[in-house]
Amino acid sequence: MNSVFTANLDRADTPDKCDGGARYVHDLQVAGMLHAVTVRSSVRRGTITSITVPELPAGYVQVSAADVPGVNQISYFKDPCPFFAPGSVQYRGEAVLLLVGGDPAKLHRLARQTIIEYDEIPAIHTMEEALAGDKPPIFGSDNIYIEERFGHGDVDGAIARAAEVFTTTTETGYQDHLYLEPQGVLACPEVDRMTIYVSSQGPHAARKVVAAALGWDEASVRVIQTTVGGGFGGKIEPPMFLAAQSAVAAHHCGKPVRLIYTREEDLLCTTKRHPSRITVTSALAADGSILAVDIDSLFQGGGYSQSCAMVLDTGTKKASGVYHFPAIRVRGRGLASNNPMPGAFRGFGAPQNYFALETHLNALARKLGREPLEMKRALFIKQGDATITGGRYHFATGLDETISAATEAAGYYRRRKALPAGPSTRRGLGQALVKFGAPNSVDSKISLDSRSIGLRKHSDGRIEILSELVEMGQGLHTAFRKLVARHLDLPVKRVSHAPGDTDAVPFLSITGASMSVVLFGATLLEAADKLKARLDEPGEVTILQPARQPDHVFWDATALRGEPFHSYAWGTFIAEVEVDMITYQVQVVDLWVALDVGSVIDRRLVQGQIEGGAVQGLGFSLLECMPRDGFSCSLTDYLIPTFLDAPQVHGLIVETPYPPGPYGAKCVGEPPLVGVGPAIADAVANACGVEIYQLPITPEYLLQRMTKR
Amino acid sequence: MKLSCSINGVARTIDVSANRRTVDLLREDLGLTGTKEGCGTGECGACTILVDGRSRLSCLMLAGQLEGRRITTIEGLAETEQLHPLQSSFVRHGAVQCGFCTPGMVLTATDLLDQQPHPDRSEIARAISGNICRCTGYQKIIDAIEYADNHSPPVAAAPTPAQSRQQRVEQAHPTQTITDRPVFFPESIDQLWRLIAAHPDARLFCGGTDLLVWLRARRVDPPALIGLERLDELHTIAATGDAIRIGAATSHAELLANPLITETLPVLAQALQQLGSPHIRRMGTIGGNLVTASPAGDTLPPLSVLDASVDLVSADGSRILSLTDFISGPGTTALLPGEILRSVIVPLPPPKAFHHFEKVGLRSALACSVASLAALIERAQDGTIRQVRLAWGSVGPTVTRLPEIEAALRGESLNETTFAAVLPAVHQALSPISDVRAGADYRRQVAANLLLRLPEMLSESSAPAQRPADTVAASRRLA
Ligand SMILES: Cc1cc2nc3c(=O)[nH]c(=O)nc-3n(C[C@H](O)[C@H](O)[C@H](O)COP(=O)(O)OP(=O)(O)OC[C@H]3O[C@@H](n4cnc5c(N)ncnc54)[C@H](O)[C@@H]3O)c2cc1C
Ligand code: FES
Ligand code: FES
Repeated sequence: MNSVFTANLDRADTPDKCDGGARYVHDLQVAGMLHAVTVRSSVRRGTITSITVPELPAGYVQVSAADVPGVNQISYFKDPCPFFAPGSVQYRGEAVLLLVGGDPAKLHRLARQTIIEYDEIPAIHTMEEALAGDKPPIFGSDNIYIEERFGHGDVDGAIARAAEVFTTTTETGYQDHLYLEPQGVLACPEVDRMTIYVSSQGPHAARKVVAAALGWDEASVRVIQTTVGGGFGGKIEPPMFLAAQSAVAAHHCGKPVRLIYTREEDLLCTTKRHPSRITVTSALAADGSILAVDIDSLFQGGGYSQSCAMVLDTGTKKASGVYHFPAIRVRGRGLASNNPMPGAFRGFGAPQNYFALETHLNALARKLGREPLEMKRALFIKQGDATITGGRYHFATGLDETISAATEAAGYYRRRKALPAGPSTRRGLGQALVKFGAPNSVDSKISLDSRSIGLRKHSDGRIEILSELVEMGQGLHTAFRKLVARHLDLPVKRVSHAPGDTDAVPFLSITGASMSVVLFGATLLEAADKLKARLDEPGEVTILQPARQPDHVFWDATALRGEPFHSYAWGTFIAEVEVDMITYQVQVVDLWVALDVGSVIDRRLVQGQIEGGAVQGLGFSLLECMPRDGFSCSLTDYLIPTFLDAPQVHGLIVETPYPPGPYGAKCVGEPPLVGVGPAIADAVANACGVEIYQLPITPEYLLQRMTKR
Repeated sequence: MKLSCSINGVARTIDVSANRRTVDLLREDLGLTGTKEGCGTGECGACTILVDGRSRLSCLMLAGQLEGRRITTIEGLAETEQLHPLQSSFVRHGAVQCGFCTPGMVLTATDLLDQQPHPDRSEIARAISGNICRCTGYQKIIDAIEYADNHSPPVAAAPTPAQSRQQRVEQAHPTQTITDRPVFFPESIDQLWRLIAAHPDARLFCGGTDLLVWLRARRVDPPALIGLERLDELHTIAATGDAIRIGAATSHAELLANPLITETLPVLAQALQQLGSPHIRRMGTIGGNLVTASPAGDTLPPLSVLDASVDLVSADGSRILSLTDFISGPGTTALLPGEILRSVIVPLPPPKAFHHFEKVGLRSALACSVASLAALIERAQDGTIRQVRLAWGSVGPTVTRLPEIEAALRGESLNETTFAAVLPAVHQALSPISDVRAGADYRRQVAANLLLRLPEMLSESSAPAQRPADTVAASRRLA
């Protein structure tokens, strides 16, 4: 334990959250407010031939693409993405129009009576169909939103020379974020201005989108961030749609408009984790050692690209895991389909790729009769090694320490082969290793130096953090307050966080990709350095510090060469499972998650992220399931872990400081989720003697695996 | 209607449609937005409130059900400007992340601690297993509840005066809404018959845990509702000679709290313990479960092996039907228009019989069964099977009984070989369907496999045992 932060801090936002005082967007009401209900596409793909809205009572209006004063586009994305269906639809649930009026029940009735007719176009249901090209393409000529290749060495040569070639293919399905607070926005028109209250992961991004939708300059739009009832990446993209739609409606009606999704709508049409199919091939020497690895990673996107490019890009850059292979080739492709819309989700492409690679290596170790951790150890990345994009691992890795911490706590080596079986149960221990790179910037279209974070000293000596980064439960604002207080050597209660309001805080970034503390926390300390010298000045002092990359980071965006990430968290996951051989149900008994998160700023917050992320990962691994090609629109069918499904999660923290990070901190938001799947799969494979190639590991899948032999 | 009730300690008369959901009344009309809505279908617990001190889901309650009740929302928990000790404990243990689940968690835990001041960790987990949290992974919430009474000094409530609790109430701008469906709550049987005569198309409901979900999904759209919860005679549990009579409006939780049920009918109690979540068990009723007649209805297999019958009554008289005659298929019962289910009659099972129920769901709470098995076994002096009754749930249109298998098992010894020998025949005989939860093959295989648990459970319950109801599979999985 080498952190300078020893005590945990009670979060400033929790008393309000405990007594019902916290205001989420659904809790806001203003005088004269109207409600909006979305009418959606009932088909996956087609051209709209007619829309028949029933006669609307006085005070009720419809708002659609035709009413958009600016551009009907979510300007945040690289590729075109309308927020009202522009005469055609690409997925079931796509918003066609809003009905707006005073009574939500009446609006729902009118929405049901609205008839939309389509000329249907053959929908693309699978990745095979997307690649086959038999149906009219959704995107470009080949349905490929993005394709990237990274690697080094002669992979084909190694495969040709290999004594043996070993191949595995793994699949993962949709996962819904299932933040407990459904999406919502309240748009309030004022004279020449529009104020948007939104539950999102980026108020300034929402402001840009709304300004473009209204055809206004950004200064005429104010976005106020409400308390966020969970995000996990799911409040990056969808709120932009709701904000643009309701802003157009509010502008049209001249009245405040509130748009709140039901859970059913939220499940139907908001983003989810990209389903994947990933083939890993390794070329083996006669002694079983790995000469080269070839990874072909397919992600199933939706009818619009949205964040597909970003997710695939970071996922592909992570695909080599914690290893430096003699030769490697990674090819990633994000494909279009007319299935439910995927997008950003905690892990950003890593859970799929780590499941593929770790499962491959674990299966290989079993096949060769080798102890998997020992087999893997020969290939570990060391400080100074090259990344698959030609950059370097500049700093010490804490991987070995996480392995020691997890294996000791779990009694891994001692218990692995000697787990008790019951009359109808079997036990298994499994492991997986991960690294998690925090990328340079999520919305990398806009350069870093136009972004800033700041501090204001008020005349009464209070310090306020000026940052648009969103507190969505992860504890970011608490971490920031501690950093600033420590740096200025002030009691933490003197430091507060400004509300997320685009009038009050500068443009910085979407909150995501685990980069808030490690990247922007460092910038915040630079601001604090400047403020420190001026603390004794009378009156108000405001410092705005532009964001910048750490000095060691260089990225050539055209050649796709350089440092893919600025920092890396490292982790070891060990799962102990009990499998019921009568029902094929898997129960995770214990989960050890050892993470090198750099220096810890608040131990309890880190533990909270580990416990929550691990249980969300457990859901992804065992329970959470939507037909790839279909829909689960209720919580009766889409199951996430309850109290009784959550195992004891043992969070083990390793602190290998990252020098450019604030006080050596790295990241912790996403890593706890990404290694859970392969660790559980390995444990099940060890318990049952069959390889597991799919997440979630449903009892049905396990039964098939065990009876097909 | 003019609704009279107490809300957070204040007696109030509120002008509201009896058909309005309680969560909307609280949030939209009264501005008590601390109550959250995460799903609207009973699956998340975010909308939990206390009604007469007991936790209830406000998304599955109509305003009319609040008449005369004492409601506590999260805003009313702390009596001073300090947080309630449990709220302080949530703050101090880092049990709050996004906070959306927190009000419901805190209120559910308040109810638990009121009934059981020192629960252990697995009791806590079970008691709040109907509340979902997506952020915390649950452990810190359990910590907060476990250590609620040895907390450090109380935390002050949020200081922003503009948001004081009272002001929030006044800021509300009630939404006008269509209120075209009358809801009645008869207090006597005579009144019920008059209402049924006047509103022949009205839909009956009891706990509403099925009906309100269907109303939301618009699977039904009746012109009026009649709630049965205030009919005293539907609430009784009584032993009558050689049978137990259970009033149709008895909730699952009331049954579980009644020693007559847990001691005499363990197979039913085991099933009830795995039904839905604590909230659903408190609100849902046995009558509702039977009339819903879902293939996955958890009380059906145990009531079948117990040879239960139903007592139906209408303005014209009453009749008794066996369960088999009462339920003929998914959602189909022999109830005639104007008739209600008054009680369930369960003959006393043979003493010393072995009771067993197992449900296979896709998770450990709030799970609809994909296969279930109820078994009632009587042993002869020599330990062989004298009499066996087996009933499967979720593998056919309604409960599946296989008389030929029961016959084949009679006289056999109680070991794995015996049950393994009948597996192929069971396999053959079951005809499940595939749905979103599981495929037919899985259901068939696992439903048959459940027989293999019997010898294991029997040997565990070595003595001529009636297992106490709480050693069910669910608690075993808790480990
Ligand atoms: C989240 C959730 C989880 C659930 N989990 C389970 C589960 O695990 N297992 C399970 O079996 N069920 C489950 N259910 C379903 C439901 O809770 C049960 O079926 C419950 O027992 C229904 O009782 P109720 O009183 O609430 O029924 P209601 O909704 O009040 O009524 C159900 C039906 O019965 C009729 N009815 C009710 N009482 C009478 C009467 N006395 N005479 C005539 N007709 C009557 C109504 O008209 C209606 O058609 C779940 C429901 C929810 C919302
Ligand atoms: S809102 Fe989810 S249970 Fe009521
Ligand atoms: S704290 Fe976010 S759902 Fe529980």
